[in-house]
Amino acid sequence: MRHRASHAMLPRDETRPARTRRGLTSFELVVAFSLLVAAMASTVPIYVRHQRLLAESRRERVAVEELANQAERLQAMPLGDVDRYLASPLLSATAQRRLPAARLESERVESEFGSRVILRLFWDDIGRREHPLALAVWLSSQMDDAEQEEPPTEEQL
Amino acid sequence: MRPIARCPRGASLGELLAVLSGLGVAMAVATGLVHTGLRQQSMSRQELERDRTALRLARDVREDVRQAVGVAVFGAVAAVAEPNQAETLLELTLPDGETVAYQATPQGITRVVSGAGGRVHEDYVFSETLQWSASRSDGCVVLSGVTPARSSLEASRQASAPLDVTIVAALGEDLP
Repeated sequence: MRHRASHAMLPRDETRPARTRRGLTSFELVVAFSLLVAAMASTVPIYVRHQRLLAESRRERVAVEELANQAERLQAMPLGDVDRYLASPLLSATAQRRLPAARLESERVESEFGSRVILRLFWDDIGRREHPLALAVWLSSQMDDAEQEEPPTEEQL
Repeated sequence: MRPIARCPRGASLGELLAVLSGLGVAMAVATGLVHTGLRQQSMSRQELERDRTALRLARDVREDVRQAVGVAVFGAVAAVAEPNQAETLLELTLPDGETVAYQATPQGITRVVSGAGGRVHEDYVFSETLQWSASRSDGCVVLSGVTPARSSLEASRQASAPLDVTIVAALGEDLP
């Protein structure tokens, strides 16, 4: 009896056909577009970051080249001129143009193996203000050796 | 008796227009992003290649100059444009009698080693034509290549930054 009574309360199929989904609602479309736009917008910072990395690597290359060139100049220089040059080392025009607020510092260190110069290049970039690019150059000891060598004696001649 | 609910079996013109506009905008943005991505990838690869080439050239020039017992510097060369043209910038004589010449070409620099075993060419190709020069000062040889001055239109078309290559090489102790 109970079963029959509850069945009698249900609407009849003939009066209300079942709803069938044949498409998308506007709300679903708006949600889909929003997700798509959000996904695309999230890729934009990647491009920006990539551009920055590219610019940073370009500046790193210029800095490495600059230090290598400075090292070559120091090695070719007579030892007597090294200290005078290190007092005010000159940056190349390329480095000055391409590295923002570039500054070159040097330090001469004497050790038991010889004399070396540590070149440090600072520029206005993330991490490079506090941690400069550094290169150590060993100076040729040829001049020192020549000065220390005694002239040959007559017997040797 | 309730009336039968109307079930929409299509889209109105307004809905169609809205959907098409949305799709158009989404596709335009996606195309722009893909284009930017491809351009950046191409630019990165180009810059990486030219950085590697510049470093390789610097290493070889320094090594050759350090070993050289004879150096001849031929000064500045305007940007070489003819396809088969090659202008010698620097000629070095090595201790074993071989000569190494660095020549400016439209593609970049060619290193030509001439000796008893014949001639060996090695190319350092850059993506743009540079204006090369060589000089000798204070015990060093300086080889430099700069991008010739270009108009703002050309500069905007060029994806990558202008290239400046400066190589300072200390002359060796064997040089008289």
